[in-house]
Amino acid sequence: MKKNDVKILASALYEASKDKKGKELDKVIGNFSAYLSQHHLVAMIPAILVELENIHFLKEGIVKAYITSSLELDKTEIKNIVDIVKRKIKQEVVAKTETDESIIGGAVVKYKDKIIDMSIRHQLNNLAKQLSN
Amino acid sequence: MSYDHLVKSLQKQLEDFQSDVKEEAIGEIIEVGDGIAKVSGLSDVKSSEMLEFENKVGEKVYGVVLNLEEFSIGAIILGEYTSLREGDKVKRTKRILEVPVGEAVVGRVVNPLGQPIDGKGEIKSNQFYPVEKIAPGVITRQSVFQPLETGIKVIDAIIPIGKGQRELIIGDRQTGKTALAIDAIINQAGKDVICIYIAIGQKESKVARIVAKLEESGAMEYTTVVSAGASQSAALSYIAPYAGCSMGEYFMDKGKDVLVVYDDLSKHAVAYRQISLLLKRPPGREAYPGDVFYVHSRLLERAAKMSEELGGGSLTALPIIETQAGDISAYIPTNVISITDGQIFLETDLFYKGIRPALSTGLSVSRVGSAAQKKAMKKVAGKLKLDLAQYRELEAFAQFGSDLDDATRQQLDRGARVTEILKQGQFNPISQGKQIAIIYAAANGHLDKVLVTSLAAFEQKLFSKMESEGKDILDNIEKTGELVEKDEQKLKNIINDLVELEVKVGEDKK
Repeated sequence: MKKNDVKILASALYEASKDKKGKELDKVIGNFSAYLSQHHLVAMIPAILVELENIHFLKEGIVKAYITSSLELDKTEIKNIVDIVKRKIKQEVVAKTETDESIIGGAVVKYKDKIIDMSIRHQLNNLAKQLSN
Repeated sequence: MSYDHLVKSLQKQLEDFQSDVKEEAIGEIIEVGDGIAKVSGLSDVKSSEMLEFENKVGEKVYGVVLNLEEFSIGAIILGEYTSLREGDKVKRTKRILEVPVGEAVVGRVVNPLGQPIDGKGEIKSNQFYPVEKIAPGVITRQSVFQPLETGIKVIDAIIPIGKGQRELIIGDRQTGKTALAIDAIINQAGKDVICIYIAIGQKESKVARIVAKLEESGAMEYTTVVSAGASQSAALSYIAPYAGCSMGEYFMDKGKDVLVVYDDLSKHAVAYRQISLLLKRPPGREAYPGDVFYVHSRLLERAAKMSEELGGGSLTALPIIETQAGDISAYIPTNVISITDGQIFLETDLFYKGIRPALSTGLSVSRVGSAAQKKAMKKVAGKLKLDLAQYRELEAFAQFGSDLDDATRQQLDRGARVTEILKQGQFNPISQGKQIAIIYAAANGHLDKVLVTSLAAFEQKLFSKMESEGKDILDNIEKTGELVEKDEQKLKNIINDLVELEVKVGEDKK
């Protein structure tokens, strides 16, 4: 495996900075930044940050749920969806929202490798399929 | 149609529409190319499960899981993969790859997924068999005891094939391997044997020619052609023999006899090598993966003669292997030779000498077939192999001089005649009775007086005489499989009459 893989770098940073605070943490971050600039890896920082978040959630047993809707959802709506997913998988859930007008209405919830498609677009597609049969 | 009627029918259709919202497992393509896809997610997918790939436009392509790794799965794509992109959705189907089987596929040309490619319309079959099936076990089988007649003199006499046997046809390019297999299929007419011809990585033109030939000779009525063309992806070539075998197994389970031709397994090995290397499995000898032996052994193990309790059906396999410059000790040929119950080795030298089928009697064997030979054939062909072996040994000597003793000269003459009568044209299968007649004549020295050059004509005369005067002999052989004393005497008389006539004509010419 490559030494400067995003996953390896992210997990190294995670392990090094775990349970560290204040000046110690600053030192770790400083060292890490120096390593990245020395090895011309600065361009990888966004990917490393994403991976760092993934590792954090994985270690803490938190699951990310991606909620796609046609319009912005308010807090109670998001909470409702998160509660449903929580009950389903019995783990902590953090919501990430985005809007996509092409789904027309409803919402699509994605978590782990599962998807619950409650969008109007999906329903219309199903209807079209049934009518064409 | 009135407006009301239209609305009503629409209403009716919409009535039973349920907006089912359910949890689905999906993955994403991480990497795609060369017919291989790496997919993330789908953590609970099974090995060799079917996947549904959906591209941005919404078109669906199927794939099969081959690799299960820590963070991803490796799958082969069965079909058009150029429209798939990174990030496209992948769904589980929770089904193992299967193909339609049954009477509906007989007489058709299909691709390895069982879809028709002959333009004769949809295949309506409600029965499906999984492509990969574990071969029948020990107690479900019985040993091979019935002959599978190929209609080719040299094979039926010297290296007989039994129903349920696996006999390899091996040889260089252009030595008549496919022709041999096609002849065997044509000869199954009226014998209640279902034939499956599987073309793996063959030229489409060759497949078209074979299908035309089978149709012309009426063999397409009981034959299915499974074709994975050279232009299609390696994944299709890889599953083609398993798919064809499943179609055959259906009939075996129904108690019927099946003949399956795999043309050819060297191209299958090459396709599997390509898939394995793209899936980053480590290469071994000749860059084939470590499990290339198992790929062929699990396929050929599915050939079987089932026990009477299970219907007594059989599946005979005729795999074909193409060698490079006659090298049968290469990796794939040795593998398949060791798996099968014998091989038919075709030699380029013999082919160009005009000995066709160009079968090398020294290197060809049939390990179980002799138990399946008809008694009559066993009786007359017993001496044949010895005659031929001695002839081959002496042939080299004969090149040097004319001062040979009588015994040697006689052996040489006999050998030359036996070799001559074992020649046979393409698409010209001969019934067992007639084969026995001509081989009887040659092996017992009745033909020693006939000129070698006029043997082909003599054979035709003998066959037509057998059909008129010796009809009962042919019928008896067909019915009982034996050549009784009385019939033998009669056969001898017919042959001697013809030989006398032939000799007289020869002398008159002089």
